[in-house]
Amino acid sequence: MPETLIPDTTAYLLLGLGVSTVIMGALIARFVLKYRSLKQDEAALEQIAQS
Amino acid sequence: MSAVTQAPLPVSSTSSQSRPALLVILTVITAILTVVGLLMLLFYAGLDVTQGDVQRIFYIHVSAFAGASVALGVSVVAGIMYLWKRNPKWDRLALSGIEVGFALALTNLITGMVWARPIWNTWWTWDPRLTSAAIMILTYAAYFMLRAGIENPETRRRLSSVYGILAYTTVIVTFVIIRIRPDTIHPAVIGPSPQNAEGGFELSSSMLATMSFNMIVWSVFIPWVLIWWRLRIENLSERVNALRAVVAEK
Repeated sequence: MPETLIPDTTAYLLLGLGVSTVIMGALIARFVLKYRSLKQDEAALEQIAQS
Repeated sequence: MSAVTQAPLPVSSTSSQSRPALLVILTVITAILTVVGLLMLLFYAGLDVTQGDVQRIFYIHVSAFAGASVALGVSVVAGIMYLWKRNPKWDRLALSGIEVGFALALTNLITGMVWARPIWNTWWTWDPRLTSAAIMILTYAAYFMLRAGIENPETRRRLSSVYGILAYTTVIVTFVIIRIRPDTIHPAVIGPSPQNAEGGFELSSSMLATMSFNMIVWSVFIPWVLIWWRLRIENLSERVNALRAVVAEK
């Protein structure tokens, strides 16, 4: 039975998974940073409004 | 009672104050399911002997497109609801859906390019499917520019809703194009591939289970959880804007 030569494409798989992680991670990081920034603004504005 | 609490805050402002337990639970479940899906594609799904390991990227590539279709579909429903009810909460939902859908569509496009390099021997070719996917991404990128370019909030919401609804035609075209254009070389993972397809593969039972699992995770859990979080940010942003108006009036 002839031996099947399987191409070594593991590096591309890892690249693809890495890129997916970066894109989705960037989206989540953007959410977190924006949420924190808005929370800070909210607290500061509440303080000003109450003073 | 302080001026802040008397301020005309958005209807859903209370949701930005505390984290809903259901959202937290869903987020934890989604994170676990995403990791399980990743482990399945790495260690459980069978190896494609003609493509090698890179074929496993298809479990993310196809699922990300399904997730983008769902998230962008949410924006269509929200856009229609806004034009009907004229309630800004629907516009906030539409924006959330498009932002999440855009990231998922970008994931789909770039994982496809990574797969194409060893299989087609090129990162990019002007194949009908790749071209339509690129047009889809650019169309939704223009949505953000449109929003940023209109100052009047009412006009921005109305035009964005119409644009978001019309933009979904690019998603439909991207989905059907490999089924109607005989000259595409892009394989169809679900259903028969076009006759010129290069890099197609048969799904074994372990591959089918992995694909089904990842499709559910990426098209149900990930878009819904991310849209929910994004919507909360948008609600909080509305509240901050209302507070700014109160402070400016003082």
